[in-house]
Amino acid sequence: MDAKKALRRQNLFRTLKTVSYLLGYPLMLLLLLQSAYALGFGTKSIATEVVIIAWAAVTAVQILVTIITKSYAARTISVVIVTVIALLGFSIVFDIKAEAKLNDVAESFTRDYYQLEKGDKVTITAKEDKLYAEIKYADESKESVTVETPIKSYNEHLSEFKPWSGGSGLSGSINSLQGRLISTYNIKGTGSGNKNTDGSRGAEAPSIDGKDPEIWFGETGDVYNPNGLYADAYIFGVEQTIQILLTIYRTQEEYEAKGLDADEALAAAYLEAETSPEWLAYKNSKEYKDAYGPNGTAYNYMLTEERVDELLSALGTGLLRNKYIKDAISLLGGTLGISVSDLENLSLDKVVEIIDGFGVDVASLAGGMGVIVTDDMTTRDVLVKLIYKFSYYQVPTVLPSMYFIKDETLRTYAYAKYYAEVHGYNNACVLYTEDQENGHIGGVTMSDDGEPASSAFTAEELCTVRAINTYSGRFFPLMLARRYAMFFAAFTALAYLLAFFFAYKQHMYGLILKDSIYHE
Amino acid sequence: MKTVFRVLFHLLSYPVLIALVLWADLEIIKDQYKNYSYFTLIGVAVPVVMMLIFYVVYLIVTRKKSKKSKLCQTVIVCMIPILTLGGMWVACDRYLPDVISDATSGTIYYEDLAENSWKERADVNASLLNDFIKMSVMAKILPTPDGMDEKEATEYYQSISVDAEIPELEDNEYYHTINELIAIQYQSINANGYASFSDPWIGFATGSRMTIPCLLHLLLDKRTVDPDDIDKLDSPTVTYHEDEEGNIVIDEVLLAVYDENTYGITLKPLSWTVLDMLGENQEFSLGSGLKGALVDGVGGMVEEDYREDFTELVLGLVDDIVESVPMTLTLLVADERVLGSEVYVDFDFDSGNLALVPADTEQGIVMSRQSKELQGRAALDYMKMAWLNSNGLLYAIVMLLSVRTWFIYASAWIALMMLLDGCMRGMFADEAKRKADLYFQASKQPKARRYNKKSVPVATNFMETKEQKKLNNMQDALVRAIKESGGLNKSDDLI
Repeated sequence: MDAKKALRRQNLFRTLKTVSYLLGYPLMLLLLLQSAYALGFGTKSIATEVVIIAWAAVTAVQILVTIITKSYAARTISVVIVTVIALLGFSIVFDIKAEAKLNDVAESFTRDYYQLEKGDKVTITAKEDKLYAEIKYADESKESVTVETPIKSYNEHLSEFKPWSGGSGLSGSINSLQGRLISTYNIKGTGSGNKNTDGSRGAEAPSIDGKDPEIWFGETGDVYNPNGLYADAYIFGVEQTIQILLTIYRTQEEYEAKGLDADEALAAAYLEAETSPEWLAYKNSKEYKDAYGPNGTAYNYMLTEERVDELLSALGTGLLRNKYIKDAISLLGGTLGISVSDLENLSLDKVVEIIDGFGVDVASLAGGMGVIVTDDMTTRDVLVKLIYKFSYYQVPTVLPSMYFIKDETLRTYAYAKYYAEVHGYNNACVLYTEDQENGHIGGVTMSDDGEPASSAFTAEELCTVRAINTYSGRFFPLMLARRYAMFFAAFTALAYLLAFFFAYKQHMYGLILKDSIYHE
Repeated sequence: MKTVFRVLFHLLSYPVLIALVLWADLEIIKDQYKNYSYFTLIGVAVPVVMMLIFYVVYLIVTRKKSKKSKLCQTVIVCMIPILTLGGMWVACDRYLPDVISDATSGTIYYEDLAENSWKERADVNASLLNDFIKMSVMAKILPTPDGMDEKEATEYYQSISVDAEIPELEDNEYYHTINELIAIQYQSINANGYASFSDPWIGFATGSRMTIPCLLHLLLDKRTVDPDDIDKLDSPTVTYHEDEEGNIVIDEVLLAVYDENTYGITLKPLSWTVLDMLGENQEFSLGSGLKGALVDGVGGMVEEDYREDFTELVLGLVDDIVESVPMTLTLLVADERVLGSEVYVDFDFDSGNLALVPADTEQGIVMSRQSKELQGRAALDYMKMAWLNSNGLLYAIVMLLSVRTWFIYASAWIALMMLLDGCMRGMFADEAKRKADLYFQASKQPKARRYNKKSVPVATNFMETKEQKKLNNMQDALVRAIKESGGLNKSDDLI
């Protein structure tokens, strides 16, 4: 063979070797990345890791065998075998593990949703597309039941998961329930994430009975005020929303089962806490007085009696500047019980005088608005309490009175309701409203009513989101890796086989070339 | 002929990019050069600088004394546009987001501009300035020159540069150009407004989480002005004192307004409200049943015989009251003891629709003319003022972004042009010559270097030994040289 031909062949096989190699792992990785991106897993998901680890393992074996032997055959066989084992092995292990994982998830959902005791037994069986749970109670008087779980069976997942057809639809169906939770409650978190990032002030929160507040509603990190409440700017994440709502639902159920009303019990608990010696002693502490004592820091953020006086004075004189209003007051004042001079000197005391003149029962009105009124309180006291209630600012360094509620269930309920109703109302992510008929939840703002209370998530839906969340983050990327691994196991092995064959041919033509040059 | 081609390839590289950039940006440059001068030229300046860098490196690399082969020179020359223009593209993505966020106080994101929306942004920015000028003329802080009406005055100010000295403001002690006016107004709305609100409420208000508690906090919370938000302390627009510990405490940040009493421009302390920050009306519906309820309520107060006459009398009075109430409420809100800032109340008794109109809107300025006690403010909402204040920088960013994508295309195109240029410079012929030289050098080696089939070491893996590699390279060179020199005859004595 002449040198020219040998050179051409050598170059041809060099090219073929490179192309064959690229058709193996590099192509697989490229296609997988494209699918992962389309499905919203991102490029750094565990799917990418799986392929890179398999590739690295094969490369390591390739290097190792090359050191031991120069034989093409030995190197080819070892690399092909390792490729097949790595990719198919992963798929098989995943099949086994995933099935077990789904069973675990279905079991934990069942235990979570039905609030089972430790001794109760749950057996999961897959029937067609769903997983079913058979519950055998430890209490033998209860009959065992079989319930359907919202977790799909592994086979159903497999048949649904087709990354190369309608990928984006798939990513929607993975997280549709979670997506609805986020939009309904106007909370933070994307389809795949459940972490909140809005914590503004980091603080070491106080523990209650040795428990950190983060244990209650599942949030860790610098998102707490020093008093253990979420920072003012905090917007709930998915996990916290679920935990807070389940706490509310379950406490109410628990009390209902006993024939009681949780909210009534809570009101009594508040009253008890706010008259307890601990709370009264705390109100005398420097910490509390710095905030709510005379000139306390809280009054930078809430209405004070002085401010109300100032506003009323401005209102009185402002209204009287209008000739028509002045005339109307002169004309109707007698009937209404207000005189021009009242308006000229309008103040909180004057308002109290007018209200008392009308004989309005302020105490019962205030009681209806959730203000605790005692018999010794005057109209002025009640009004001041009302003003404070509606402009109340919880200073971050001061413990809230619910901290002093003794009953643990009611205390956690109090925190959950505070977050769901008050904190949520402040930050346009209302989680719960007592007015189930006409109330609103979610993004209730000045310009938006949010969502009707009827669109609230049920406990089952909340448990479902939580259960799916426990596996969806890794499960679906791994499903993707599995699909590619299964398809590419043979393909990659073939690619390696060809690459080695072409490398061998290239090498042989190299020898021929050298020979032909020197012997022509 | 080669020279002609080479000139052509060079003309088709950087000059084409610069021409394209100029063509894309020409309209903006023509419109805004008077206002933002060199900022509008950034898009063109960057490729020009890149071109200069390129040619300096080009001349150094391809100098006659260079020991590098022409192939190697060409490779280096091809790398320059890829590194500089591609690098610029990467740098835009890496650093511009922070610059944009700083310049706009986090109100515009890089993604908003990066793709094709930079052109729209340029239009928005142009209209910001026009709107500001229009409102300033309406609020009389840009005086209407003699013989012009408001519309003509607006057009006049819009036609001149923001840095041009305005003859009508010759005697003004605070500002003489539109730009200086923008700086005063922005400092007031920023330091005394946006930055003075307590966290997190203003963020919620501008981030569509404006709840009633949020509004109450914004209205009631104690506000403080941070000296860091003031550009220059020693200016007539700021008053301050030092506390006992020597810390600077800002007393007042002043805003330019027109004083109806002295008929002159003056500075005034101002407490901005959250509505000014949002720059849009807040509308509420109190229900259309108000009037009916009043009739029933009033009617119920008197005996039936007098009811009709009495209701008529009261309703007549109510009509007068309703007409005058918005102004009363406006003045009430503007009272130092309430908000100390004007929020106009627009109320329609029949429909029960109530609107709170910020003073820094056109409607606000029009409504302010109803009373001498009120002053419309020539300022856009906070976000727009922040953009306007950094308009120059924003234009620079916009101009840069306008050509960002072209940089990446141009880098490949120019590299191709330079490759062709390399061919014209005899890159391959030069390479063949070098290989031939190499062959002759090899041929001068002692006989032991001759190889036969047996003596060639068998390379059994991809990873060749050093010796093998050297040998292979040499042989490859030899074969190529032979190939290029027209093949080998059996009779040729190679060694």
